[in-house]
Amino acid sequence: MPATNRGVQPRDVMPADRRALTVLCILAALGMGLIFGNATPLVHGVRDITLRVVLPEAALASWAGRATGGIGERFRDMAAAFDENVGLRSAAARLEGEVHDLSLLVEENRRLRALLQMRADDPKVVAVALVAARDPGRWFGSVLLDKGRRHGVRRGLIGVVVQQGARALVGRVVEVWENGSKLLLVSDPLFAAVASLPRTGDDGVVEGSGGPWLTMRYLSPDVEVTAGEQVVTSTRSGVFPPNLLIGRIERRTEERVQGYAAARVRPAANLNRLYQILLLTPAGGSKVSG
Amino acid sequence: MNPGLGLAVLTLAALAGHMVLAWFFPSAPHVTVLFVAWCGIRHGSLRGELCGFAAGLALDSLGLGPFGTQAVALAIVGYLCGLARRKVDGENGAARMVLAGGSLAAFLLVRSGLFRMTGFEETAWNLWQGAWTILLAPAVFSAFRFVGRRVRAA
Repeated sequence: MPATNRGVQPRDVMPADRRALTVLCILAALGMGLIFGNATPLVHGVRDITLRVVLPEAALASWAGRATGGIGERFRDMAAAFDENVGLRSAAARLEGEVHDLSLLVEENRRLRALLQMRADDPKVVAVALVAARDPGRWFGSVLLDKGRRHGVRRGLIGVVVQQGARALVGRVVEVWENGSKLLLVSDPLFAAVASLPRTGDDGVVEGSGGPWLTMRYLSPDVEVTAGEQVVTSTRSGVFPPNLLIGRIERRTEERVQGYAAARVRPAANLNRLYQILLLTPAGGSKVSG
Repeated sequence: MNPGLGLAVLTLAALAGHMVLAWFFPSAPHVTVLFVAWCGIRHGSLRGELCGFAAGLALDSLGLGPFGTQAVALAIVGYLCGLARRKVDGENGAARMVLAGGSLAAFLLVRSGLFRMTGFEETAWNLWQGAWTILLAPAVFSAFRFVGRRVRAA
């Protein structure tokens, strides 16, 4: 069985074996380098190329599998993104609500600061009341306040709001009970106040219309009114403090009562945003009753 | 044909045969080990280890194990078979079977050792594949010799 009859000379055998051993060592070192070296991208590349060359069907199947897996992964990502989107929308809505609440608080704080400032300066201020309720059927008629007799509120007190640092007439207390009161708004048809145009000095009567505007009647037929002109309480009013801002002229109307002119007035106070009402004693302190 | 080129063609043919057989018959003989053994016994240690390394790299490219393990194992198989060429009659059927068994054992031993070194979990070896590798070694060696002659003649 030994095959030593190949005619190979001993001096030729040793160098060939050494060479083979040397090459084996080199190959083993190379192989170890591949095994333990960090050649992952290279290995993936080689495996991919070999797979494509040797087994194109397998490569195709692998590609199809990856593509399908990719689609599934995309769907999963989309589902996750959808869930995340829902969560973010919810969080955004909640934060939006909080921001709105904060802005309301800031606005309220600003109003209260202004009220406190004015109340400290003015001994005529009786109370600061909050609007407790409002009748939807008579929106521009009256509001209910949370301050009543026990807080010093009496019938005939003048209700004003503070807007941009100035007081604006809102109405007059017409009913009082122990823990609440009713304020007749300037826009109620029953409301009337002697008013004046400071620019010309003309007097008239401001009346409510039941809507979001007022009417100033009994103006001189030849008076010139301009849009935006201020309308204030007259010094000749025995009820309202003088020079209290009521509103601004919007336009002159064609209405004539006994030959007098009339004008439409937009209230200075925003009657849709009534929160705190400053209650003042009326002019002279008379005509006030519990 | 250039002997080196012929050997490269044979290596590719052996790999292709290995793939096809393994694809259809999981217990088919390990044609690549047999080829490397034949190459070593026929052409010596140097060519045997070079063919083993190249074929091993190809197998590593197609496998999932650590890249390079089968290349090193087959290079060692080729080298050892080349050393055995002076003591083993490559034409004897029984000797071929012994050579095939030894080559397969050496291959599995080295590969298993390398797997352990890298921490790769090796799957259980198919005993039927080992049996078929040993039993069919004479026929496979003859086939390699036949194909080798045709390639050389081309």
